[in-house]
Amino acid sequence: MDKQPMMDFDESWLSAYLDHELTEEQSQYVEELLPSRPDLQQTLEGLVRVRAAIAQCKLDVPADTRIVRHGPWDAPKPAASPSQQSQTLPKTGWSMQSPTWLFSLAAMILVLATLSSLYWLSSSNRRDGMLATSMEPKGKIAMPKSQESVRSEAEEVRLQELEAKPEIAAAGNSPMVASDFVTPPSAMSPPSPVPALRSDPAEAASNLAFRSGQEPIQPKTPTDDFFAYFIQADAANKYAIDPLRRNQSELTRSDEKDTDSSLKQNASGDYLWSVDADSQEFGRSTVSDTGTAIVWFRSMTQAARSDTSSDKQVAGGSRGELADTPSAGPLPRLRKSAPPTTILEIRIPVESWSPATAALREKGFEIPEDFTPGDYRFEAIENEGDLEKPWTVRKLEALPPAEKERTPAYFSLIVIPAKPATKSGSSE
Amino acid sequence: MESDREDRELIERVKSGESHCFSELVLRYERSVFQSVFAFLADRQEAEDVTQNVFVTAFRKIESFEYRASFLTWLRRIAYNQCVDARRRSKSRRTTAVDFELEPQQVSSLDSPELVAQSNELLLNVRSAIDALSDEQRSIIILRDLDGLDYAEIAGLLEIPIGTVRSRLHRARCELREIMEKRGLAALLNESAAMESLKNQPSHGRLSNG
Repeated sequence: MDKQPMMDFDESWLSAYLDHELTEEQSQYVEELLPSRPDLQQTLEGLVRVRAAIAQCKLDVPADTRIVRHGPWDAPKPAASPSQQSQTLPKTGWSMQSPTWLFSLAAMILVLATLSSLYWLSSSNRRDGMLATSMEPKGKIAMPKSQESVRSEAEEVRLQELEAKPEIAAAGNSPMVASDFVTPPSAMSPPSPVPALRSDPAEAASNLAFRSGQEPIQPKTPTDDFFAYFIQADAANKYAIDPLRRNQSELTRSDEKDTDSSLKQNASGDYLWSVDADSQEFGRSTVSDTGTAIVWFRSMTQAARSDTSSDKQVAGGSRGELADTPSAGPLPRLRKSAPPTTILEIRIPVESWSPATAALREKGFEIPEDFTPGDYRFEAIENEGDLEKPWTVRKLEALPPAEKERTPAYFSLIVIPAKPATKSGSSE
Repeated sequence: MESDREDRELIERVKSGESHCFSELVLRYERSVFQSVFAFLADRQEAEDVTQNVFVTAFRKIESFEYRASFLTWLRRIAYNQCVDARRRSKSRRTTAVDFELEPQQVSSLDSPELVAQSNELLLNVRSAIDALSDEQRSIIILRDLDGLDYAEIAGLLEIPIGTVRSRLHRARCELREIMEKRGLAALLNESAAMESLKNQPSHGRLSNG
């Protein structure tokens, strides 16, 4: 048969032919072409085999399998505290396969365990500025899956790194991450048969009231204002997410996904941030779904903040242990009597450094165009009466350079609110 | 479609403040999302975490969902993005290309030990080969050959023209075949084709001895 070549025929038609994605006319053309083209026949056979091989990998998930345990949609009231939420979770019932009373009991045990851990922590003077935001590696302590799932991946990488090579942590020469500021689970809390809560009441008290409900964000202290400003939290911003710009479309990422750099921008080129506003777990944030950065709110004490403002570095470089060397870590020692306040850690994936810092510059961060990638500490200073630029975020110093054995996945910028007395002055 | 209508009702209720209705949406789609995510990440624990995160994200962003696609497609889009992120983040910690567990239920329908072992080996090798593809190629293969999306759905999800879907998918399949052949797995390709046909036969067990 003399076949006239179709102008746009190419081999990809064979895949489409297998997938029944050609028009009738196109399919007919392929069928007519195949007998006279052994090369195409061979390709087609190969495609059939490959498709069959891939099909072997299909995972059968039994109908009664539950993957998602619970989430913010279970919260009966937006403003409920984490402990209150835990207590009320069984009301939804959809994911609960045990009697309600059992969960109520479990929730009570959780609360008691958390309070006892907090008491234990406050009576101990062996840790730095972070309160009990547990950072247990997977499997060490059985945690509810929803809590595990919202853990930062970067943190997990870090924990694995530390576990694999404890000498790195001991030497304080590994990349600084927020988990460095936290006492390891084994030292943080007494042995407990129940899972540890992610956030403790002290952290919740200094929360910016990020909630998934209808209530507006209500910063509780002047120093919190910066964080409200940073995430553009107001009454209209229901979920207080996408702090720098709000993604208006349903898309969560640019349509240009072919390059890493495009992963950080939406279709209009805006750089997006996301904060785990709904988790009600103040001590940590999930990784942004926009693939940009982790915005991480943590509590520290007033005393610690004062120390920090004067650049007194006493915290340990290794996770959860106070180091003897003053340059080992960025955060000050915890003083248990001081009320908690908030710091912000922004983790920027290495490859996102340039667009991320550009976006930060728009937020008042005083950072040059050629800002050298690294870990830095900043101080937020309010510009009273300046509506154009309500906050200046001044770079204090680079955090101690780490002898990184591996290329770091991200850099950390720590923002610390300035003391009221030093708001208009330099603390550098 | 009925399910779409029900989804819409549930979504509207969630939007109007009945957050608990979201749990019904979770029930409906968590397995589909998990399957996609697991196919992409090949790590059960990580897939569970990402699946959880997908729904948390969807819940947060549900106000922006405007029914331009089905809810499942929207979830898959979120899942895809998070999978790409997760892969990117976890690259540094992956020391080998194979980082997944065999799922017992995947071979449970094959009653011969030899066939089960064969299937396990095949699965490991195929997964390893899929893992060696670029994210772009892996994702399009998963969306089509494991999730069963048609070209139009994939085009909508990835926001690329249908012609690009076709050519990209074809390249990905050819690349996968090439990878397997380079690894000396050409025979496995034949076996998998045979197994696939066996699995589709009601009496596949008859070949268990030989």
